[in-house]
Amino acid sequence: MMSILEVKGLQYSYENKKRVLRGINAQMEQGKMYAILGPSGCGKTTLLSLLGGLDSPSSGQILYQGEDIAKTGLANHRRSHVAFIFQSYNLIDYLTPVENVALTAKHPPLPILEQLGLTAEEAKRNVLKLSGGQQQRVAIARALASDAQVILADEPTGNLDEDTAAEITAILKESAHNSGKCVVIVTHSNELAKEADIIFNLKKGELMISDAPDTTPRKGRHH
Amino acid sequence: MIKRAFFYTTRKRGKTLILLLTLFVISTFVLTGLSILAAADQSALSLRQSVGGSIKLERDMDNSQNWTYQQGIGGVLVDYTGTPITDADIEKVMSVKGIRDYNGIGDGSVFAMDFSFIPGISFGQTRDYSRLPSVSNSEYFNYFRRGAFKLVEGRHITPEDDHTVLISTALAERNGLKLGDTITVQCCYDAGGYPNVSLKIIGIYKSTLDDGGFTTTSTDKRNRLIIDHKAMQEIMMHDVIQYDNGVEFFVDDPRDIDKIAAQIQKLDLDWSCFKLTVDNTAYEAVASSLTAMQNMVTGLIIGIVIVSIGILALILNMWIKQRTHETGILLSIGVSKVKIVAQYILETLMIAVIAFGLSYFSSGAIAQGTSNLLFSQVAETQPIPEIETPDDGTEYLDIIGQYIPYDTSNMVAPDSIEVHVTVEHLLWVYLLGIVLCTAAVTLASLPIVKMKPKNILSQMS
Repeated sequence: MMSILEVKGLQYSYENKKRVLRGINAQMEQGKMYAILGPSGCGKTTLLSLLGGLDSPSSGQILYQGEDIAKTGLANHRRSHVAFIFQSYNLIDYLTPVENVALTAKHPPLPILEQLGLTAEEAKRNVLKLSGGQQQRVAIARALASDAQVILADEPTGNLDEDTAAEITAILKESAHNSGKCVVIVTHSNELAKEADIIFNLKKGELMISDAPDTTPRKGRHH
Repeated sequence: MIKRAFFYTTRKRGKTLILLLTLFVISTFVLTGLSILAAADQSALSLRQSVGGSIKLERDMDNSQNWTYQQGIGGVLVDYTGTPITDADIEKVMSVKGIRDYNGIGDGSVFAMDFSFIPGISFGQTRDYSRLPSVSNSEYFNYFRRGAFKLVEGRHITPEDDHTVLISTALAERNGLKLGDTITVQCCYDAGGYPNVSLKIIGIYKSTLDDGGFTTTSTDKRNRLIIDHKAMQEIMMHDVIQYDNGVEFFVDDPRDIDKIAAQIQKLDLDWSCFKLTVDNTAYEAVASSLTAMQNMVTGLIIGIVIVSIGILALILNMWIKQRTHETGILLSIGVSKVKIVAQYILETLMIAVIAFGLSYFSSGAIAQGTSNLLFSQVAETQPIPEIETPDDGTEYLDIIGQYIPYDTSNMVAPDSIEVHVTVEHLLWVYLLGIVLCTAAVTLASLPIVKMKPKNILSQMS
């Protein structure tokens, strides 16, 4: 299958010249869930931002269906090709779940929200009055409703309890396997990474495919 | 975008209310200021128009080429033979923009045939006579214009009048004359053969001047008969109307008098025989207090506008900065920067439209009170203008060469003016407000929309 997203020789340096990504190459396909694992500060979120067109690389290319997103336009890439899911949900606080989903929706928002477990009454409430899990469901609904083929999720279960995290992970997996989306999750959670079809490890600015999460204990951190 | 703007303003009620109140207060001040400024301008214009200003077109007596010298029996006969001022000349001058009206002045001397003048000091056995002016519009005649004569009965002479006269109350009392009566006069010049001319009394005036008791019959202003030009033409047996003492043209606004005089000077008139004299004395006397009044109000308005812009810019800047998070989210889902800024502008304008509309009523309620307060303070510091008799002999305005003093009691800016907040003022507030709000929101949004979405999102987290 042709990759929907391809990364070629991607490099990125911060404004203080610190190089965080050192020539990354990767290919991602539709219908699969990818996890990018790595410790805090290793550049996971930066990589996700580059994949989503929120920033430009120092060098290298990101191709969406074979086309360089720098040439087709980053705003166009964000609008048409990718959808984000954030750890802190990032919902517009003065809109209801239905209205938040409607921001990107190409389909009626309510059935999608109901599919993800929100009642019709909850879907019309102020988003801030929903639980964390419900808010993340709204964020996922917004991503799914957009028709974007690539879903980029940054620590999507980071603020959720174990059970809710499992439910959200299942929804994302289903989006990849049943809806044919390419789901890319950035996480430092091995539990979440284990659910992915392919796991990348980001270490010292380089991305490597790994069959299983890196379970090597790190100093001061446990995963 | 429109929906989002509507949802924001209706659901973020606290913020909407703060902005609404701020814009309401600012627009109330600006609208009040604008209405007071307009009323002050109108008041200043009214005052300028009431004190007036005139440009006199008269024969140039100083140019010797306009005189003819002829040797006669017992001496040299001197006669003015320059071009006379004609009605066509008057029409040309009246076509100049800014001229409101005119008054041509003729000159003659008459005997009273069926009534008697109030006698003055006599230097011989000559029969009593009086100099009299003919006028186009007696309302604009210097005596009336300067408040020296006040019409107490009847009406003024207009260009259409034929054989009419205005007389003084003293002369009317002496001779038992009233409105509608006729008096008969005859030219008193030596040539003789002049006809008796009947004049109908259409107005009676009261003189406020004190002649000091040392007057001849002719110089006593109570004997001044003011007649129309057709009557003078018959009295003096002229072929056409003669404007011996020139024609005064009255301007709409004495502030523009020099420009208007320059325009007249460019007209195709026989300038070798004519000269122009500008009389702006009254305006110059009140100009300083008018300027002080307008400067104060204008300064106040400018102050309000500057402070308002500052406060508005500050509030909108804070308002937009608080929305960095939202901006990041919208950018991350692909909403364009233009649409994001447009949404913020639209929200502000939705609130502004309501605030500006409400301020129409609030400013209407406070404008008059504010104006009264301001103008009473101006009036306290404003002296009554004094116009002194010129001592250089340049201003002889009476036909017999006497200075006519001004009544200056009305030549002060009023201590209160009627202020109306009009729809035009409101439209100005809308126009300025929309421009200001749009500029302030755009400027406040620029730093945020210039940021990379990633940087906004990293700030958010």
